[in-house]
Amino acid sequence: MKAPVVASDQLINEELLNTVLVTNKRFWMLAVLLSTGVFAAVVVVVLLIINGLSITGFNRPVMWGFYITNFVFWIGISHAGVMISAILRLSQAEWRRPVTRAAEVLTVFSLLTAMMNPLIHTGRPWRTIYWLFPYDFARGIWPDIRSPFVWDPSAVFTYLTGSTAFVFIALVPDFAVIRDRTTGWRHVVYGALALGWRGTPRQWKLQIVAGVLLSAIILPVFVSVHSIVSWDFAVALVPAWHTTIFAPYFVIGAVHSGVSAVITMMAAMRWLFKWDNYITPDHFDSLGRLLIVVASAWFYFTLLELFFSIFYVESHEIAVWDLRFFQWPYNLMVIVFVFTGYIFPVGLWLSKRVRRNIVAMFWISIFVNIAMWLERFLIIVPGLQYKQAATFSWGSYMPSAAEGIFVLGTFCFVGLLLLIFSKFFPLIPLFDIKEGKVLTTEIQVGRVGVPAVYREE
Amino acid sequence: MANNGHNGHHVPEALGLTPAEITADQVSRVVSSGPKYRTALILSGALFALGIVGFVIRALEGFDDRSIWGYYAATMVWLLTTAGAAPLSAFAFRMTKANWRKPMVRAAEIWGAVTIYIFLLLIPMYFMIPSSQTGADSFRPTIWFHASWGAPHLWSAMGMLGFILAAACFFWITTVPDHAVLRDSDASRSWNRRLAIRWRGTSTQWQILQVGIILFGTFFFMGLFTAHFLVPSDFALALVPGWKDAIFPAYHMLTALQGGLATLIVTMYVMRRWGGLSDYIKMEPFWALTKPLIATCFLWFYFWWCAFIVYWFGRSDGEIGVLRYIQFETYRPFFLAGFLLCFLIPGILLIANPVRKSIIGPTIVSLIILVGLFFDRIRIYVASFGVPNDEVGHHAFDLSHALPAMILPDAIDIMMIVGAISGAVFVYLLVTRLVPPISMWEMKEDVLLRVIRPLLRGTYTLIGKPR
Repeated sequence: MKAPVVASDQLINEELLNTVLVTNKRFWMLAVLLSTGVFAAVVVVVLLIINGLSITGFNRPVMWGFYITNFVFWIGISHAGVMISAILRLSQAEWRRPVTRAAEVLTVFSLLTAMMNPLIHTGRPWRTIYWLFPYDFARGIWPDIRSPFVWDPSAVFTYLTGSTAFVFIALVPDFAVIRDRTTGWRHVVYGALALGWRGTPRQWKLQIVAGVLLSAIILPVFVSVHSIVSWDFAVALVPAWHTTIFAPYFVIGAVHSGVSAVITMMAAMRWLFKWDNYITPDHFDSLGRLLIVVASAWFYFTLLELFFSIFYVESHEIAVWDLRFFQWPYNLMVIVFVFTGYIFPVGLWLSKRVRRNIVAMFWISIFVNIAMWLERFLIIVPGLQYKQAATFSWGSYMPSAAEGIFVLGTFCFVGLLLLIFSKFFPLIPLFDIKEGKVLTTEIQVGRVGVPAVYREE
Repeated sequence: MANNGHNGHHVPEALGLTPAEITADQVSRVVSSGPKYRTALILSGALFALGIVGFVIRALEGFDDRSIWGYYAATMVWLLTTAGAAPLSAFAFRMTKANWRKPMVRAAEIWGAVTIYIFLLLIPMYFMIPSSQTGADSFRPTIWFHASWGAPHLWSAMGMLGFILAAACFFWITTVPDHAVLRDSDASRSWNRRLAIRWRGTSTQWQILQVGIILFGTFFFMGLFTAHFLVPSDFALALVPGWKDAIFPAYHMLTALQGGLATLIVTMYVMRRWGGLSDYIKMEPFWALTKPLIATCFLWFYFWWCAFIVYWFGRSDGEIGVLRYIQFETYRPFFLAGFLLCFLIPGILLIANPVRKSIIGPTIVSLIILVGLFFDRIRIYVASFGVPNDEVGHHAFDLSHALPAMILPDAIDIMMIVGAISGAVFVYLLVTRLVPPISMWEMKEDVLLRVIRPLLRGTYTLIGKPR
């Protein structure tokens, strides 16, 4: 049970809209820094289009590397929004309120970023139009709908559409607040976005129903997206990929990395925007406890994947695991991945003191996501590098500097988009905070005042 | 309880009993038993005895032919999936501080004591499975791999024993304050004194109790995962050629969550309807439990689909053989029954709020799920036990020959099924003589922490949530 925000509605408006209505020096410094990273990534993409995939480290038979790893990683991060927002909303977790908006927005931006990766990975992005249209109009040869490469864009675009609607619906009351505090063209734009919101009982009812409905509808989409991404791998007969566990394993891994990314972002928001009254150690504590469960479930799936890959002691499966566990540099990556993905974070999260320490939580969440990035790399590359019977030419994959710059650029891109978003829209939902303030109070039990919350049911 | 406010919202009722009244009522239930209780006890005891007779007759045929024990195995695993998993609800909803859990936790925890009985049922099954050195080329797949000593029997049994101990300890720790109340009442018995371990209700003791619940609950939770890893891998996956299915233990665990919730809902209904506990168990826990229940129904489909699509696309001999044997040919009727009763019908029914927001609706859906899970266990365990020893360890069925035929239950199987289930009910009823079926200390806490107050133009429940 979290302490209620003790502030008047007016103060809440002022404090949470300060990012929208005022632009300070730190904003510009961060914007320049992130833009530089994005610019470097753009240069890499231009070079790739000019020179082709020769600027990457792809080497037969490993033709999937950093780009696809990064694609899976960002799809994973996108699971933060729904996990935090939809599930916690449906379960009426009070502590969700300051966290939901940022998590939902992170979903949208990470999905956009994720989709760039396979496009760029093709080397000739414009040719991806053949995913949607016949690649030979004359003979009418259509893409094979049984291919997971056709399922992927469908799932991701559905999720993107749903997530955008989810963000928009939750923003409508806040648009109205900004509309009433701006003038000129901004007043007109926010007025249009607010859809005539006046805060009537009927409008609130519609808004709540829409939020709950979208939460319920988006949950299956959320599960399906990463499941479908996992089937890119699992339906193939590549050793260590062809396993039934991949879909839920990918989903729970995505939630692990996504919620950790929300912690990173919350800490950054607290420092950047001075929202100490709204994002409190209580929220980090709650997210830490949630992550203990999520990380343990994820580790359970990791062990299931390992056990049942080698269940029949088949040579080709053993060979891939041998590559992962005992061959340089994958063995080092496995150690880093296991320790920073599970053992250290969960060990530390068991301590309440750590969970309430924002600096510690920030760095732990960063390490979790390093581990989760490595996890995707360790799934993709060793699986392809295994010397199969029909492979006559093989080499090792060594990522090029260009790939590394692009990957870093995607992080800058998401950061920049979030920063720009914060300039135009509040990253903490005003109405949700105010509602939380109304619904939380205290009851007297003996001589002790106990925090209490109103429940409709 | 389900009266409506001015705009149709649900206005809850307070319990209407004082802490002293709760104590008096619950203590009296432990001391005296009504005719309904005695009838249920005698009936379940008689059927349990019938099951023992059936078991003895079957045991005289020996344990070498595994196929005749398939229904026994399916029933045992069904009990593990349903009754064995029910206490998890008590732990999980305590951890999430869900206030509505309070009337139902004890009903769930008593099933923890029943797990000892389930373990006794499991022991004979260890005589039926082959060792790790059996099968094709003296190899059969096992999660113990090449361990030759004690695998899988000893290691698996130790894992299960750990789970049973955790369940029993979890049950005990949650009852300590209630044993102390019984100890200090006229109903005091020797076991109340021992099990209350000098409980006086000091602040330190309450803190230790909270830590103990978390600790034993976590052990139980981990033990449940272990049990649903060991049992399906040793008694199912390892026996069917080509069945290399990493998601299967997770699927098994999911069905345990589903079965545990369904068992709890049915138990609450029985307690309410025939146990005279309608003043305590109202609609709220039924309604609240349907939310995770509907999630498990849809996840049932998801987990099944994840396995199916990978096998379907893989199309190796092993995969096709498994699909044909346990889903689409030999055991198709049982698969379809499981599909309909665990996923489709309950999933559709639970979407409707009027079904969820009632007492009879969740109960009927839970009964449907329990029947569906029983068919599902038959599909898995009767099929697995039906594979002859010389096929075990192969990477695929020999598809040029016919798959093993479907095994239907005979009279002895029916006796064992009815007897095993009645035995669990019998043990449960006996345990309710030891502790009250409602957790007194949690209900008293609920009385203190739940207030009905007006807010704006409505009336709402205000729930205290101590930090």
